[in-house]
Order: sequence, then C-alpha cells, then structure tokens
Amino acid sequence: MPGLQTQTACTRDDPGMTGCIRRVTHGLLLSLLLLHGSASLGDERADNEYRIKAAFLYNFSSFTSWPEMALQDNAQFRLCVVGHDPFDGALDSLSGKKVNGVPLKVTRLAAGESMQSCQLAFISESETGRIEETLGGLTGKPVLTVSDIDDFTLHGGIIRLKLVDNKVRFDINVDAAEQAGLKISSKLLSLATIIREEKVTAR
Amino acid sequence: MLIKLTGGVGTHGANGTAIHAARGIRLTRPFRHAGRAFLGLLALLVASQPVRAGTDTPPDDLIAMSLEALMDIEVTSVSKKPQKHSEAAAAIFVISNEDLRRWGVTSLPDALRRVPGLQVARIDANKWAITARGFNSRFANKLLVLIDGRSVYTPLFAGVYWESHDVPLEDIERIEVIRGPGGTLWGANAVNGVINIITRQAGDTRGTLVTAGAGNEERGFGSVRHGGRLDNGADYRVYAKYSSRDEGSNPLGAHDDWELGQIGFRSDWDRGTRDSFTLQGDYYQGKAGELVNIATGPMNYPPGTFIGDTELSGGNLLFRWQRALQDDTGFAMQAYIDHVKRDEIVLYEDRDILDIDFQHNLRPARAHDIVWGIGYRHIRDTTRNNPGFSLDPSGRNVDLFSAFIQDEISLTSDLRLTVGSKFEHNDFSGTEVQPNLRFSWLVDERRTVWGAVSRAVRTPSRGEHDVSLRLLPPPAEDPGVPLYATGNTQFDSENLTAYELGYRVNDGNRWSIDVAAFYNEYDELRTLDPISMPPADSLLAFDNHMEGETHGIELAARFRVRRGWDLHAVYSYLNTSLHLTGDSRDSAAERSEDSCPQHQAMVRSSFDLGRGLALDATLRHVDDISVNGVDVDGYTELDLNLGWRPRSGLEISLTGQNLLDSEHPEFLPDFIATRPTGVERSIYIKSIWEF
Repeated sequence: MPGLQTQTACTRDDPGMTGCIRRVTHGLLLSLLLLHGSASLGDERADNEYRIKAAFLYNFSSFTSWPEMALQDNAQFRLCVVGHDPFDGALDSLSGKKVNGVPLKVTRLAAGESMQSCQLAFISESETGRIEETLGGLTGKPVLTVSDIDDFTLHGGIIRLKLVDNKVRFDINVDAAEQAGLKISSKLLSLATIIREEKVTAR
Repeated sequence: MLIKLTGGVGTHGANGTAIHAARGIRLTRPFRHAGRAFLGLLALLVASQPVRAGTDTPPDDLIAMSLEALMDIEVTSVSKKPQKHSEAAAAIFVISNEDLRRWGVTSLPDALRRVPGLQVARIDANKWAITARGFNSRFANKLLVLIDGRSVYTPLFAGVYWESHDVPLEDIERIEVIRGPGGTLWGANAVNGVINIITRQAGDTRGTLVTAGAGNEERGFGSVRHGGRLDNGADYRVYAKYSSRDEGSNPLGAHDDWELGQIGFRSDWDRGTRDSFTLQGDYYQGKAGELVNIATGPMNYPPGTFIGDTELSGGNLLFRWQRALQDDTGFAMQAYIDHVKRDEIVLYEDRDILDIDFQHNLRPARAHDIVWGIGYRHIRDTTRNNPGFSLDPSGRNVDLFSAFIQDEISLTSDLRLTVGSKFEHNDFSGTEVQPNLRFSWLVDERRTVWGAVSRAVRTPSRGEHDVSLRLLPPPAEDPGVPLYATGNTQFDSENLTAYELGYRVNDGNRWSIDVAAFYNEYDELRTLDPISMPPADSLLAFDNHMEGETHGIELAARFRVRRGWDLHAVYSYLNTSLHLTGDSRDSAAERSEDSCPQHQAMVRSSFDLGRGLALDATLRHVDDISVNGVDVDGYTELDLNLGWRPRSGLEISLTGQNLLDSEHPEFLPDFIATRPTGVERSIYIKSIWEF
C-alpha cells in the first residue's frame, strides 16, 4: 500500500525522520486548510535526486580504471566535491566502501582548491560560471570529472549527469577521458550518450 | 519566475544560493507522537496517492542497484533550483566571473557594453549614460541597478552615478541583466530593465588575492582581498581597492580624471541547516574631475567655465537573514543602510537610506509557487542651495512602502504561467500598481518560447518635484534671460505597457541562439514646458506631456568552433518614436528619440592558445546617435585581451581597448553642461595573484 511505504520511512529514528514528520504535519495542515490534499502530498515527498546521483557516482568509480600511478600512492580513493555540496550527506554513505580495492573517502573542496589528488571530482552547479578555470589545471591528470552543469562536457569535463523525463542519464566525453588516461568500461559507455570533441586539423 | 534569478532579497538571496529544504530538525518527544498520529491519519487520507519507487529507498539500497535499475528510477525532485537562464520567461543575459576575467575589463560600464539590449556610452572619463531599450542620458531613469540587493538608483535625480560604484570585479559571482519591466518583484523604476550585481559568497573567496595593474588610461589600479573562516564557522572576507583613470580627450582641456578608493567586507554564516546570515558593507571615497559651463549673470551668455573635483564618498551596511522551511520554501529578511555624499560644482547632496524587506516563498499546492513580500524605505537628504541649483525644501524625508505577490503556476510540466503585481506607495505620485503576466513554454530540452505583458512605472524623482536648476540653453534657443528648469509638485509617474516575446534554442552541443523582441508603449513621459516668459526669467516646469513607442530585437548567439575556441555574437536593434501631447512644445524631449543607436553589433572570439595563454578579441560597432540635436558619429572599436597563467594562482594579462582610433566621442551631457570628452585608446597590464 503506497501510504504504508511513507510510514515505514518515517519511523526510522534518524534526523530525517523528524523532518519527515514535520513535512507530513505541514502537508496535512495545508491539505486541510486548502482542500488540496492530493496535490500537496505530492510536494511533501522527499527529494531523491542527489541520492540517486550519489549511487551513479559510485557506479562510475566502479566502471572506470585509473592508471596505476594514480592509485598506488594513495591508500584511499578520493571522491571530491567542488563547490556547494548538493548531496546533503548522501555521499557520506559511500565512505569506506571499496573502490578498486581501496576505501573511498569523501573530501569537500573550496572553489579554487586543487583537485589533482582526487580520483573522482564532482563539480557542483555552483561552479557554473567558472568551469574552464576549475578544469584548467587538470589537463592530462587522471581525474574523473563529473557534473550536472549543462555545458560540462563541452568544456572538457568527462561525465555530465542530466535528467531526461525525470530519469538520470549521462553523457561521456570519450576524448576527455582518453586525455586524462582513464579507461571507461564498455558497459558504462553503452549506457551513455557519447560526446566526441571536434578534432583539430593541425598540420 | 523572476525570483529565481534575483539578486535582491529573496529565497535565493543576493548570493543566488537556493534556500535548501529543512532537514534534520529535531522535534521534542510529544511532537513525535503527534507526528505519528498525524501520519496514521495521513496514510488514510492519501492512501490513493501513488508513490514513486526509489523515493525513500535508503542510500545503501540505491548503491546496491545496477546502473540499468538506477536509470529507471524516477527522480522526484521537489526542490526548486535556481531557474536555468535558458528557461526564464524574460530577456536575460548573464555575465559570469569568468567572462569578466576574460574580457579584461576594469569597470562595470565596460562590462555592460557587451550585453545585448543595453545602450552604454561614456560622456567623460567618469560619467556614463547607460540604459536598456532606449531613453539614454547621464540621468537615464528607467534602469534599476542593484548590488547584492541594494539599490544604487539615486532618488534625487533618478539614474545611477556609475563613477561611485567600483565593485571589485574579482569578487563578483555574476551580473544578471534583465531587459524589460522587472516591475513585479523589484518595484518602481525597473521600467526598461534591471541589473543585478551579485558578489561571491565569503566561503568562495578564502585565501589571499592581490591584483595590480597600470596603463596609459587606466593609470593604476589594485586590490587586496583576504578571506577565511572564523571559529564559529562563519566565512569572511575583507578587501581594499584603489583605481585611478586618466582624463579623456578634448582639445579645450578635459580635467575629468577620476580616482576612487574602497574598502569592504562580507561575512556569511550558516547556522544549522535552516538559517543563513549575511553581513556586508563597503565604504568608498574618491574624486571625479569636471569642467562645467554655468550661466551666472543676468544673461545666459557668455557662461563661466568652472573647474572642480567632485568629492564622492559613501558607505553601506547590509544584513540578510534567510530561513529555509520545508521543501525549499522559506523566507528572507534584509535590511540595509546606505549613505551617499556628493559635493560637486553644481550640486551638493548628503543622503541616508534605510531599507527593510521581507519576502516569503510558499507552495500551497503542487502547481503553485507563490512569492510575496513587503518593503519599506526611508530616504533622508540634505542639499545645499546655490544660485544655479536649489531644492525646495532643501532637506526632505521620503517614505516608500511596497508589497508584491506573484504566483508561478505550472500548468503542465512544460508550460508555466506567472501572474503577479507590485503595489507601491510613494510620497510624490501616491499608489502605483504594476501587474505582469508571463509564460514560458519548454518546447523540448533545447527550445524555449516565452512571452510577457507588463505594466511598469517610473516614479517622480525628488528633483522633478522640488528642483530649480539653471540651464544653459543652446545658443540658438537662448531666451535672452536666465533659464531655469523647475520642479512640479503635480509631476506624475511615467507609464509603460510592454509586450515581449522571446525564443531560445541550442543544439545541446555547439551553438545557442537567444532572441527577444519587444514593443513598448509609454505615456506621461517627461517634458519641460515654459510657465513664464521673458521679460521675466524663463521658467520651464517638468510635466507629463509626451507619449511614445519603442520596438526592437535583441540577439545573442554562441558558437563553439571547437573546445577552447568560442565565438559570440550580439546584435541589438532599437527604434524609438516620441510624440508631444497637449500643447507641449518641448522639441528637445521629442528629439531624445535619437539618443540611442538603432543598430549595435558585437562579435567576440574567445580562444585558448594552450600553455595557459588565452586570447579574447571583441569587435564592437555602435550606430550614429544625436543628443540634444547634436550628432555623435557611430564608431567601430576593437578590444583585445591576452591572458597568461604561468601557473595556478597567477595570471598576467595585457589588454588593449578602443584600438582602432586614437579617440572617439560617445555621448553628450544633459541638464548639467559638463564638458564631454572622447574615449582614448587604452592599453594596460594587469596581474592577479592568488595564494
């Protein structure tokens, strides 16, 4: 029963639960006030976008191979978030999980901090105005860059997450991945929209 | 819909950051039980509601899912994100922090030259005429300018004193330029457009940044900024900046050099997940030279030429509190004080503004996103009277009350309708109502069509109500006795009804085109007509005896030749037609229809040369204009900027502006006969060091 599912989630004793109650209470009050019961409940549901996207990041790390140099010095797999973190804790549930045999560690970087020691860097939408600057220092470095910024792959980013009909889809800039020295598995590529950069005809 | 783009007080605040949904709020025990009881009730009430899979699945379950399964989950994103510019139901252009750096500009007006639909012209080295969609003048009064939600539109003469606003460009997050009436949320005087200058959050400017530069025209400029985090988690930055510009060109002498020093700070503090606070302030002091012709005797000619340095100073302090409520609703409160002092040859003013705004965003039903707000502003000024300029009374207190409500209705997932209105009460023209109706239709992922019908007003300035200003007539129109412009207590607001239509398309990859067309109908426009004739002094009083229409098209296009090489093109067409009504014979007002170029075009190439080198070239063309019956030829200019980043944190750039001519004139003064000067070829070098 759909209603039951809502209830189950809200009985878990975590901070999210109380927020849930609050949401539900508000929803109910509003429903009664505005006789819009059915419409407002739709709004009271939790936001799952970035929890799903966090799971995508984990998958990306599993289906990508880093050159040996990139991992050997690190006893950990560094997943970095550049700019304002939209995940609201969803990434922290990835902490400690094994990626390529080493534990994953989540690091939040301020704008301008170097990403060179990260294996995967998620560039937040807050960095929209300075993508080139952000990616500038990474040329040739084995960092898998992921973002939901619109033009991300056009600016040399590797994976762009997008929503199509409310479902998560992704573009992969295969030339940028190659430049970074990353090997992306054919399985991941088969699910992606492939973006190729125009080759410069230099003679 | 405009709320999501605003730099004003709002759900997304001056920093443009969305208020995040409240999470993790701990309620006390009794409330938990109450909550469960409600839950039970709710379960019954809403048992018929579908719940989409994955909504409440714990993160671990999601991680265990296959990619294919993940790709099948429907995203139930109820959070409102700042609306994408490509979906906005308004003509919007955004200048990013990166644009400012790559263009190599040193001032706000130079950055605004690159925006479609704006008319930007320099009168002398420290005075500009800047407007949107027509009616340009040094005292252009139909464009509202906000810096982090603080209005810098001067209430004394209407318009903006651009020479007093030297915001450190490195600290700017973005500049949003919205052409067309922004009336619903921003209140009066956002008639033809709004410019929101939004500075970066303190957390984005940690560390130390030093800039320094020098050139033949931009004589010297530099800034120091330091940011960090305090023990309580609040981020802060402090900065100091100095700029100095050389005189423009005039064979009779210019004396229009300018210098300004400014210091300021900004602190942002998030307390818990719900509340965020911002406190920021600036103080500036500077000098702007001018040469003014003033009629002093019983006859207008010959006038005396006076040389002086306008002393500029001012400061402001702004506080903002934003609270997030559930599901990305929330409220924001903002208060600021702003002090401005201006001591120039003709006029002296000392002004304090107190402004308080409250704004609340709520979503009573799925399809409705409502924003409402109220605001209060108090303006106190002191002026000094002299034979050429006086205000009656010389000091005045003015109160402004405003309120607005707007509902953005999602008719379908692709079609949004926005209805709203602003209500304002001011001491000069009473109550003003400014409604607007907008739609945006997301045809598909790549195409958006939008349109709007709006009404906006430009409220009377204090000057139009209270002034007595001695004018220097053109020799041909010399009445032979002193000529004055005088205020009119009956002067009313200027009105606009605007019709807009826009289309945006991109191929998702290499190119995008943004076109906006508008038709504006104005009435009650300002005129100056005689109320007394020779042999007495000739008095002209402000009145509302003109109407007019403007129409135009604005286009911005981008084409990516390849990674590292972008081409941009901007074109603006504007046609203004003004007609006197009643018995007005103010031909000068009617002639102001020629004060803006009909055609403006710009092409820019932005090229990465590799090895940290980047070359930007901009070719600009501005059509002929005529200001107060005097022709000013059009011009074509080239700007080049070569930037070099030898290593991360260091950038050196060499910039050339107006390279095609040794000098060219752009505009002429209005009301106050300051000496105009030509814009000269300018070359400067600049370095930015971040550590």
